[in-house]
Amino acid sequence: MCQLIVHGGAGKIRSSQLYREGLEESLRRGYGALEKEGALEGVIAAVLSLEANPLFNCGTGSALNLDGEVEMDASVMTSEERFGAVGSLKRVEHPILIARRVMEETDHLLIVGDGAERLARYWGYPLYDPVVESRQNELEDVKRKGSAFLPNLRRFLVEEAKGTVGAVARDRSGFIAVATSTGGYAAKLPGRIGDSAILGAGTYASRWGGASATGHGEQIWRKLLCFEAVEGMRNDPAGRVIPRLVREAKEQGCSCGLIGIDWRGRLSQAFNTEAMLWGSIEDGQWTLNA
Amino acid sequence: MQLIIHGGAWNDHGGSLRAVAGIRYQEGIQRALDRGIALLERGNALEAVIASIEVLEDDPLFNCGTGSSLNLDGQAQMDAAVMTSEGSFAAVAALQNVQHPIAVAREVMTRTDHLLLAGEAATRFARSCGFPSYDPTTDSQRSLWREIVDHGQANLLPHLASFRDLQRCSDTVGAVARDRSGQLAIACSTGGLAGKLPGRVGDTPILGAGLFASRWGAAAATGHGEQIMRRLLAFRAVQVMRREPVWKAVAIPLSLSSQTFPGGLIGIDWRGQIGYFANTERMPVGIYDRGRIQIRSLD
Repeated sequence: MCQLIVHGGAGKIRSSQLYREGLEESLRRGYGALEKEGALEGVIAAVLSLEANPLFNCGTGSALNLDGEVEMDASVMTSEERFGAVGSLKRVEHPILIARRVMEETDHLLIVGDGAERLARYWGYPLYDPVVESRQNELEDVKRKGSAFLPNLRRFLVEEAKGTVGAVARDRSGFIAVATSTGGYAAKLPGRIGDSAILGAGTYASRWGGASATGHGEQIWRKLLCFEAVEGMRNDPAGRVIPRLVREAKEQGCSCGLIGIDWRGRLSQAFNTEAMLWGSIEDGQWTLNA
Repeated sequence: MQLIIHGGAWNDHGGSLRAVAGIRYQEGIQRALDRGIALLERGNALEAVIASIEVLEDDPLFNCGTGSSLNLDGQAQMDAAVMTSEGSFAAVAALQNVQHPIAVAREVMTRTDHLLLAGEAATRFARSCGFPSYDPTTDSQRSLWREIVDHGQANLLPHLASFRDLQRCSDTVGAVARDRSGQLAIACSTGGLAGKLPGRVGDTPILGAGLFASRWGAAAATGHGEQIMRRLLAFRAVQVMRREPVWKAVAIPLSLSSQTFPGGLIGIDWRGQIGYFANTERMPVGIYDRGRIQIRSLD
């Protein structure tokens, strides 16, 4: 009795065979680890696979900031309310692994910037360049279009916001884990940290369930979307809480997608954007939407 | 019009420097209150809380701005945030070499569509807004840092637990105000934990953790940053303000917690009622309520 649900971002995304294959791979690896080693290993394996895939906006293939650099946010949380996160982390291959070590090996919850990169080196993670060419083209494009929007750059950036990956898993013993990882959005200001590194915003878990969000980071954070989702699971099944929150978010102008599993192992997902890449495995039963 | 300011929450543990400085804390809070009141009377809540916090940032006694705790490298890395009941929020984290982190947080609010800027890039942002380079380290914080480093031995990174007893409780400062129009605003600023890992961010710049405001009220937290973040303390306090009086709203989130940790909360609800609570020996607090001023140290 294991469940795993994975998302690969929400927004103006055209479905394609490549996305489908990427999600399949993530689910396969995640579920394998989930069955053998439990929920935490499951979500880490699922997110590692997406971080390695240049199609998704996390790890290799992350969106570039205004300087043309990759700065990544990632976090992990378990139903025992253990949490670790990194923000604005550069030059590592797998930010989710650093977030996990922040959780397991420090007294802190969130470590950012150069301090986070130094810690990654201290733990033996080598220098890595996650920049891919397609993202360089995207940045040029955004900058060009953005200048036409000046001085309405704010609104323009909001409309272009997309892409974060996340996974929620529940293992045989009822233990729940959540992992979320992102490159943020193209042309963000250097040093910007969004919801994916924030407890309660892009990631949350407690004994009542787990949730991971994607979409416009600032809006998701303001609403503490994942915290509200998991709190809601106390009394209602995930299948009621998640669609309701995503509907309410839309009414308030927050574009987002949300996935979650409640304490009884019920999965749910919802989005108010054009599309969301997601897939799940529930006791061996596959669902794929990409 | 109301304004409440706190200067951190901590236990003296006998020999603390702080035990003898109680009166100086009260004087610092008084100055911050005076400055805030002046702005509240002719301006809005946001201007008032920022002005109050700037006064505390300039006072080396408080763990924010000048006199911030130093990280393991011996650097001051500061976190600060502002929020209003209309939902505007902005913060900076792990910011170095500026005099007033709270003023940089305000620039993030007015100039960007982001909520949080962190690290070296935040310092760069501050420079581009015109804030000059400034060294906020003080002799007394340098000697505290030396004590921690000497005590911690070689292998303290990344295992901080071994010298946790030396880490002074992270005494964030915070201010909450309500202006004539009923708008609420909060500002918080801190140097974080002494001896923290470089890049560590606590609750202070985190919406929902160290501060939260909505139409129902506004709350600011202080105490052990990681525990406050885990429990989203300020968010929970404001949720309680919907139904309960403010004195309950600031006490409930701290008492509910199964694991106790040193902490305090201040808040103002939508009716303009003021509340404060701490489970520590000390939390200097200054209150301005409809023309009356009170300074308390809660000990």
